[in-house]
Amino acid sequence: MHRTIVLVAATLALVIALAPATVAHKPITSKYTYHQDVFPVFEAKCSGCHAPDAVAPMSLLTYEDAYPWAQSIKEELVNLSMPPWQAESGFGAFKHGGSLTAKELDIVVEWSNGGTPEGEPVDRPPSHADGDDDESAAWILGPPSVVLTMPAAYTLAADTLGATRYFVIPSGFARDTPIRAVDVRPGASAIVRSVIVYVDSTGAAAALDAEDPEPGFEAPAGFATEQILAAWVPGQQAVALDAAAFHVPAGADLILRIAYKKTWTYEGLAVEDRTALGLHVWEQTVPTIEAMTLQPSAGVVPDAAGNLRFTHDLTRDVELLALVPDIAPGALVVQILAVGADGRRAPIIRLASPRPEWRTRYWLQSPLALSSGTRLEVQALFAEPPSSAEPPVRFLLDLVASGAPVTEAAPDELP
Amino acid sequence: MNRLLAVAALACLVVASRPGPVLAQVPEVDATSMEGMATVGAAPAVVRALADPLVDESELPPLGWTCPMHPEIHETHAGGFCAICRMDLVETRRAEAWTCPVHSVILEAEGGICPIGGRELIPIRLQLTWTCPDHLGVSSLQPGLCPIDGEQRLVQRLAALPHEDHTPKHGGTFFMAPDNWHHLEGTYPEPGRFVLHVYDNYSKPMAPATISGRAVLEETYDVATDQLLELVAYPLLASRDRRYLEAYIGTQDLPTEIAAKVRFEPDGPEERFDFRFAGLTTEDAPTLLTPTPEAPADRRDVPVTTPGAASAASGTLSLSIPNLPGEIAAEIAARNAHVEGLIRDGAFTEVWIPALEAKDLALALTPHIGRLAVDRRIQVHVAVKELVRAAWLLDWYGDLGNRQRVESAYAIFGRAATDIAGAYDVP
Repeated sequence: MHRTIVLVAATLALVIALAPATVAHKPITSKYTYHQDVFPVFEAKCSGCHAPDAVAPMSLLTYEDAYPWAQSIKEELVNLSMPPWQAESGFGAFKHGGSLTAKELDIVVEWSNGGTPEGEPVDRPPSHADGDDDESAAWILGPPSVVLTMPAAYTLAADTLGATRYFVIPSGFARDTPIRAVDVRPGASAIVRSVIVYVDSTGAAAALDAEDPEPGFEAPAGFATEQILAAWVPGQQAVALDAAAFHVPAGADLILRIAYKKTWTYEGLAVEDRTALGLHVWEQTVPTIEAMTLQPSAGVVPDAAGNLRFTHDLTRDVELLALVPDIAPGALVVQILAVGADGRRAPIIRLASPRPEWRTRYWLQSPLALSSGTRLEVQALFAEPPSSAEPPVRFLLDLVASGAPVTEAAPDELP
Repeated sequence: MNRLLAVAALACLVVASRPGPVLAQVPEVDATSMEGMATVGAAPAVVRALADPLVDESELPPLGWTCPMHPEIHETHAGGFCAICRMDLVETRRAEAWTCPVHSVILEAEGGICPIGGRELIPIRLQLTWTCPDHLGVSSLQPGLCPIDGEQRLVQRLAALPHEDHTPKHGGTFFMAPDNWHHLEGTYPEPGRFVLHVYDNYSKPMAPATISGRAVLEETYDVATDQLLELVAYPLLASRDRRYLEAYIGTQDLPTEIAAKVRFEPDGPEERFDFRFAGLTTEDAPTLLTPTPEAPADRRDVPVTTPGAASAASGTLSLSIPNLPGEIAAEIAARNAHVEGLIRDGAFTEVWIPALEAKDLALALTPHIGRLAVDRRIQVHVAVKELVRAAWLLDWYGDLGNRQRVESAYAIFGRAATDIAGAYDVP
């Protein structure tokens, strides 16, 4: 199987390398060239997916790979279809990436639209990957305290284009354990679109898993999960907490919700995945993160024009660390502003055309202190009012409350 | 047959070439060993030739003659000269294949559906040459052995011929279809007669054999169905000489607006093109951009304001950027008014100029944003990026001539420009 994938991947590389050069619609008018201007953007903002053997159907990291896609690149960017998880840079600050800046957007679109000039390879700034070929194989944050791997590999059948499946991994923790970071390493990076890691201390997921003869299970309607330990999409790196921890109870299971999807390049092929988690455990005692749900009250729905507004007043002092949005399809923009008791306003997050299938966690660049009395103002605009009965906008806020409980540092005997 | 293999097999048979020397080695292909090779039997000569680099020349597309400067010129006989620049024509060998209008990595022998995005494939013209893997300066019009080392097989290079310009040929308004292949030009040469010329990707007039459409003069919006209902429409019929389409629409007051709704293939999608004629079209009239009080007719390379200010260039545009953010915001507001006026007048193909100028002005605001109060900073930050995005949408949609699309892009553009103006108290 592995050999098959390699063979196909090699064939695909050939396909792209040998494709005809279609001269751009307009003559070369771009003042930006691939090597000097465009490559740094692709590397910084796109290479998590658009790299060899990654989840996207093509790499953008060489000129020959990138330029045949110029028209498509332009259309995806100006229609906000890509990048898929767009926290507007400048509207709040996040640990990594998010959307292209206005300047980056302009560079790539002008290049795509203006004849895709290559420029001189010597003008290309040093790549982050240059001379570090093994980085992708290593754990980003260094050796984890514990590595947990799916008990069995799951095969996405040849005639299946996509699936969402849950997998149970026993944590093996003998006592409550404070987690500092979760690093996700997809087994088959070409098809793993997202991984959400939940904590389950009820055994419910394990029971469902036992009923399903295949590895993992499909969640039934109403399947409830506890705290989100990690939310990963391609291109995102693990974040190590500075002074807080996620709490994993003793004996809890970790549940991986993995969304698989094949691109056209893997159509007709069976692909096997065995994703692994690298858990970094705190060796000191730190406050525990709690999750707060921010959603409209019952009955508060978008108006006929698609506008939705709701607020939430904090009743205690907290530090906001991260957000996990859960947005219904069709949202054009969703944003949160914090308005202090003194009227000062602080942007928290703005998502342009959020795509539900790329749900992830947005880590603030630094914790944001929000005092009691702060009002969180949420605004959303939908192209059409959502039809689902579920709240169309919901955020899970990862925060540390003043006087939050702590989870004692883990002892040495980890599984 | 597996679609992937089909694409792979065909792509394996071609060698990429840019105007620059991008060259890949031709793989050794056993035509009997790959399932996808079953398509080769139906493939054009360009593909068959590469399967056997020593193929007999009779298997290749015939030689033709073209202008070194104007590749749209293509003659079947030697000894001519370019009708445009009078240069002597040179030998060339061309073939046709099919590619995706968006994903040019796809190359097929026949028309069909793009395996990536599902769009209809469009025909593409390829220029064939052969070169030696180790001596890239070698350029031959037929396969064979490398003339330098006498041993290596020459490998094929394919270069897609460039898409032609959008210059009107009959003094009318020129749009491109969303398939990036068909182009059309609407004229109003005499009272009551609307003419639609259709061209291919290379400005070659297309006979309207499979093309159908209507000239729609009046519509109303139906709330119940969320559709535009046509109240007055006339069929677009082939002209007597079958060189173009025309509709007799009755005498109209000028200016008049005509929506051409065109289907290029019987089972293809219907596309809309919004024309506006301020007067009768004159065949030999020079095609000029519409001058407005705010801007000269053609703003390329024309400094806009403020001597001594910094200069920025965007593609073929260059303009001067004021130093003060309030002045930049005022310039953006002026461009916004210009864009709005052009859209109102139906001058969609001219919208890109003030739109891209406004985009460059907005980008020049970025270093100043940090000095604003928080609320205004947020407002401008968001607006700058939205304006950049909308400017490129206007550039794109303006070429397509679809008023609804243009106005949807302008809704973003205008809102962003207004937010910027508001943040800097520009009236």
